[in-house]
Amino acid sequence: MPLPPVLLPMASIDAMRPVFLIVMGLSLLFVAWRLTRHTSGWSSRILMLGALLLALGYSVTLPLYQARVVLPIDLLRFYPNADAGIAMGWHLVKLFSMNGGWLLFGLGLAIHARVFEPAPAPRVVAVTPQTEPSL
Amino acid sequence: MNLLLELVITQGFLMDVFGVIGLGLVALAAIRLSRRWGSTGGTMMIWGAISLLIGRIGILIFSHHVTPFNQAAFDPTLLAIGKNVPLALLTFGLGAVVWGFWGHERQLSAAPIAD
Repeated sequence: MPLPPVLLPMASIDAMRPVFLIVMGLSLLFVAWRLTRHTSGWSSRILMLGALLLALGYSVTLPLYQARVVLPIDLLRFYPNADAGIAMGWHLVKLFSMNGGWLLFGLGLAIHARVFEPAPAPRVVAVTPQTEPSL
Repeated sequence: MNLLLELVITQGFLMDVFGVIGLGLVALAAIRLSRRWGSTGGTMMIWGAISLLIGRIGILIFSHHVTPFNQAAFDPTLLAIGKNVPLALLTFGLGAVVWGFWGHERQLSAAPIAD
Protein backbone atom coordinates (compact mmCIF):
# COMPACT_ATOMS: atom_id res chain seq x y z
CA MET A 1 0.00 0.00 0.00
CA PRO A 2 1.60 3.30 -0.98
CA LEU A 3 1.84 5.98 1.64
CA PRO A 4 -0.66 8.82 1.35
CA PRO A 5 1.01 11.94 0.00
CA VAL A 6 0.48 13.80 3.26
CA LEU A 7 2.56 11.26 5.16
CA LEU A 8 5.30 10.97 2.56
CA PRO A 9 7.35 14.04 3.63
CA MET A 10 7.35 12.73 7.21
CA ALA A 11 9.35 9.69 6.11
CA SER A 12 12.04 11.76 4.39
CA ILE A 13 15.55 12.19 5.72
CA ASP A 14 14.95 15.88 6.40
CA ALA A 15 12.06 14.98 8.65
CA MET A 16 13.67 11.99 10.32
CA ARG A 17 17.02 13.57 11.13
CA PRO A 18 15.70 15.95 13.84
CA VAL A 19 13.83 13.05 15.44
CA PHE A 20 17.03 10.99 15.42
CA LEU A 21 18.97 13.90 16.91
CA ILE A 22 16.39 14.42 19.67
CA VAL A 23 16.39 10.72 20.57
CA MET A 24 20.19 10.55 20.52
CA GLY A 25 20.64 13.68 22.63
CA LEU A 26 18.21 12.48 25.26
CA SER A 27 19.67 8.97 25.37
CA LEU A 28 23.18 10.44 25.69
CA LEU A 29 21.95 12.36 28.73
CA PHE A 30 20.24 9.26 30.14
CA VAL A 31 23.31 7.03 29.70
CA ALA A 32 25.56 9.70 31.23
CA TRP A 33 23.21 9.93 34.20
CA ARG A 34 23.25 6.15 34.63
CA LEU A 35 27.04 6.04 34.34
CA THR A 36 27.62 8.75 36.93
CA ARG A 37 24.78 7.79 39.26
CA HIS A 38 26.82 6.20 42.01
CA THR A 39 30.02 8.14 41.51
CA SER A 40 31.20 11.53 42.61
CA GLY A 41 34.13 13.71 41.71
CA TRP A 42 35.08 16.01 38.92
CA SER A 43 35.10 13.52 36.06
CA SER A 44 31.43 12.65 36.55
CA ARG A 45 30.49 16.30 37.03
CA ILE A 46 32.27 17.35 33.83
CA LEU A 47 30.80 14.38 31.93
CA MET A 48 27.29 15.19 33.15
CA LEU A 49 27.63 18.89 32.32
CA GLY A 50 28.86 18.02 28.84
CA ALA A 51 25.99 15.59 28.33
CA LEU A 52 23.50 18.25 29.49
CA LEU A 53 24.92 20.78 27.03
CA LEU A 54 24.90 18.21 24.22
CA ALA A 55 21.31 17.25 25.00
CA LEU A 56 20.32 20.91 24.86
CA GLY A 57 22.16 21.35 21.58
CA TYR A 58 21.00 18.17 19.87
CA SER A 59 17.41 18.01 21.07
CA VAL A 60 16.46 21.69 21.19
CA THR A 61 18.76 23.92 19.18
CA LEU A 62 19.49 21.85 16.08
CA PRO A 63 15.83 20.85 15.43
CA LEU A 64 14.82 24.50 15.80
CA TYR A 65 17.42 25.45 13.22
CA GLN A 66 16.38 22.65 10.90
CA ALA A 67 12.70 23.60 11.18
CA ARG A 68 13.70 27.19 10.29
CA VAL A 69 12.10 28.48 13.47
CA VAL A 70 15.44 30.16 14.05
CA LEU A 71 17.22 31.95 11.24
CA PRO A 72 20.93 31.16 10.74
CA ILE A 73 22.97 34.33 10.91
CA ASP A 74 24.45 33.71 7.44
CA LEU A 75 21.00 34.24 5.95
CA LEU A 76 20.21 37.27 8.08
CA ARG A 77 20.93 39.79 5.35
CA PHE A 78 18.41 38.16 3.03
CA TYR A 79 15.62 38.78 5.55
CA PRO A 80 15.66 42.49 6.45
CA ASN A 81 12.63 42.18 8.73
CA ALA A 82 14.10 39.44 10.90
CA ASP A 83 15.27 40.28 14.39
CA ALA A 84 19.06 40.19 14.41
CA GLY A 85 19.30 39.96 18.20
CA ILE A 86 17.25 36.78 18.40
CA ALA A 87 19.25 35.17 15.61
CA MET A 88 22.51 36.14 17.33
CA GLY A 89 21.30 34.81 20.67
CA TRP A 90 20.37 31.42 19.19
CA HIS A 91 23.69 31.37 17.35
CA LEU A 92 25.47 31.86 20.68
CA VAL A 93 23.37 29.11 22.28
CA LYS A 94 24.23 26.72 19.44
CA LEU A 95 27.91 27.63 19.49
CA PHE A 96 28.28 27.12 23.23
CA SER A 97 26.04 24.09 23.63
CA MET A 98 27.48 22.05 20.77
CA ASN A 99 31.17 22.92 20.99
CA GLY A 100 31.33 23.33 24.75
CA GLY A 101 29.25 20.20 25.14
CA TRP A 102 31.63 18.08 23.09
CA LEU A 103 34.64 19.63 24.85
CA LEU A 104 33.28 18.93 28.34
CA PHE A 105 31.94 15.49 27.38
CA GLY A 106 35.27 14.51 25.84
CA LEU A 107 37.16 15.86 28.83
CA GLY A 108 34.97 13.97 31.29
CA LEU A 109 35.20 10.77 29.27
CA ALA A 110 38.97 11.13 28.99
CA ILE A 111 39.34 11.58 32.75
CA HIS A 112 36.99 8.63 33.25
CA ALA A 113 39.12 6.50 30.91
CA ARG A 114 42.31 7.78 32.61
CA VAL A 115 43.85 9.17 29.46
CA PHE A 116 45.86 11.73 31.38
CA GLU A 117 47.38 9.30 33.85
CA PRO A 118 50.43 7.35 32.83
CA ALA A 119 49.82 3.78 31.85
CA PRO A 120 50.96 1.29 34.44
CA ALA A 121 54.46 -0.01 33.90
CA PRO A 122 54.58 -3.38 32.22
CA ARG A 123 54.93 -6.13 34.71
CA VAL A 124 58.58 -7.03 35.05
CA VAL A 125 59.22 -10.70 35.23
CA ALA A 126 62.12 -11.24 37.58
CA VAL A 127 64.65 -13.46 36.01
CA THR A 128 66.58 -15.33 38.60
CA PRO A 129 69.58 -17.44 37.75
CA GLN A 130 68.75 -21.02 37.52
CA THR A 131 69.79 -22.68 40.68
CA GLU A 132 70.63 -26.26 40.95
CA PRO A 133 67.87 -28.19 42.52
CA SER A 134 69.11 -29.44 45.77
CA LEU A 135 68.51 -33.06 46.02
CA MET B 1 31.70 44.78 14.97
CA ASN B 2 34.82 44.36 17.01
CA LEU B 3 37.33 42.14 15.28
CA LEU B 4 37.86 39.87 18.28
CA LEU B 5 34.13 39.52 18.84
CA GLU B 6 33.67 38.68 15.18
CA LEU B 7 36.40 36.07 15.31
CA VAL B 8 35.03 34.42 18.44
CA ILE B 9 31.28 34.69 17.94
CA THR B 10 30.27 35.38 14.36
CA GLN B 11 32.88 33.19 12.73
CA GLY B 12 32.92 30.90 15.74
CA PHE B 13 36.60 30.11 15.29
CA LEU B 14 37.52 29.61 18.95
CA MET B 15 34.45 27.56 19.82
CA ASP B 16 34.90 25.40 16.71
CA VAL B 17 38.44 24.65 17.84
CA PHE B 18 37.09 23.67 21.26
CA GLY B 19 34.54 21.35 19.67
CA VAL B 20 37.13 19.63 17.50
CA ILE B 21 39.45 19.23 20.52
CA GLY B 22 36.55 17.70 22.45
CA LEU B 23 35.86 15.22 19.65
CA GLY B 24 39.54 14.29 19.66
CA LEU B 25 39.34 13.73 23.41
CA VAL B 26 36.31 11.48 22.90
CA ALA B 27 38.31 9.45 20.36
CA LEU B 28 41.31 9.23 22.72
CA ALA B 29 39.12 8.13 25.61
CA ALA B 30 37.41 5.53 23.45
CA ILE B 31 40.76 4.12 22.32
CA ARG B 32 41.96 3.97 25.92
CA LEU B 33 38.72 2.38 27.10
CA SER B 34 38.71 -0.33 24.47
CA ARG B 35 42.42 -1.13 24.63
CA ARG B 36 43.24 -0.91 28.29
CA TRP B 37 39.96 -1.70 29.99
CA GLY B 38 38.66 -4.08 27.34
CA SER B 39 35.43 -2.15 26.92
CA THR B 40 33.27 -3.54 24.15
CA GLY B 41 31.44 -0.28 23.56
CA GLY B 42 34.76 1.49 23.08
CA THR B 43 35.24 0.14 19.56
CA MET B 44 31.92 1.55 18.44
CA MET B 45 32.80 4.84 20.10
CA ILE B 46 36.09 5.00 18.18
CA TRP B 47 34.23 4.66 14.84
CA GLY B 48 31.69 7.23 15.96
CA ALA B 49 34.28 9.72 17.15
CA ILE B 50 36.36 9.36 13.97
CA SER B 51 33.36 9.89 11.71
CA LEU B 52 32.21 12.82 13.86
CA LEU B 53 35.67 14.38 13.50
CA ILE B 54 35.77 13.90 9.73
CA GLY B 55 32.21 15.17 9.33
CA ARG B 56 32.78 18.19 11.54
CA ILE B 57 35.97 19.19 9.73
CA GLY B 58 34.17 18.63 6.41
CA ILE B 59 31.32 20.90 7.48
CA LEU B 60 33.80 23.55 8.63
CA ILE B 61 35.70 23.43 5.32
CA PHE B 62 32.44 23.47 3.34
CA SER B 63 30.99 26.45 5.18
CA HIS B 64 34.32 28.26 4.90
CA HIS B 65 34.39 27.97 1.12
CA VAL B 66 30.71 28.02 0.18
CA THR B 67 28.68 31.04 1.26
CA PRO B 68 25.19 32.14 0.17
CA PHE B 69 26.88 34.64 -2.14
CA ASN B 70 29.10 32.35 -4.23
CA GLN B 71 26.80 29.35 -4.01
CA ALA B 72 25.63 29.68 -7.60
CA ALA B 73 29.17 29.35 -8.93
CA PHE B 74 29.46 25.68 -7.90
CA ASP B 75 28.15 22.55 -9.55
CA PRO B 76 24.90 21.62 -7.78
CA THR B 77 25.81 17.92 -7.66
CA LEU B 78 29.15 18.62 -6.02
CA LEU B 79 27.44 21.06 -3.68
CA ALA B 80 24.92 18.43 -2.61
CA ILE B 81 27.69 15.84 -2.10
CA GLY B 82 29.86 18.26 -0.15
CA LYS B 83 26.97 19.21 2.09
CA ASN B 84 25.32 15.84 2.65
CA VAL B 85 28.29 13.52 3.11
CA PRO B 86 29.58 15.34 6.23
CA LEU B 87 25.99 15.55 7.48
CA ALA B 88 25.55 11.79 7.09
CA LEU B 89 28.91 11.21 8.81
CA LEU B 90 27.84 13.44 11.70
CA THR B 91 24.53 11.61 12.07
CA PHE B 92 26.16 8.19 11.96
CA GLY B 93 28.91 9.31 14.32
CA LEU B 94 26.48 10.60 16.92
CA GLY B 95 24.53 7.34 16.80
CA ALA B 96 27.71 5.27 17.10
CA VAL B 97 29.05 7.31 20.01
CA VAL B 98 25.77 7.01 21.88
CA TRP B 99 25.56 3.29 21.14
CA GLY B 100 29.12 2.70 22.30
CA PHE B 101 28.62 4.83 25.38
CA TRP B 102 25.52 2.81 26.21
CA GLY B 103 27.41 -0.45 25.74
CA HIS B 104 30.20 0.77 27.99
CA GLU B 105 27.68 1.77 30.66
CA ARG B 106 25.96 -1.63 30.45
CA GLN B 107 29.29 -3.40 30.81
CA LEU B 108 30.21 -1.24 33.80
CA SER B 109 26.90 -1.81 35.55
CA ALA B 110 27.17 -5.58 34.95
CA ALA B 111 30.71 -5.89 36.26
CA PRO B 112 32.54 -2.76 37.40
CA ILE B 113 36.05 -2.48 36.06
CA ALA B 114 38.49 -3.06 38.87
CA ASP B 115 41.21 -0.49 39.29
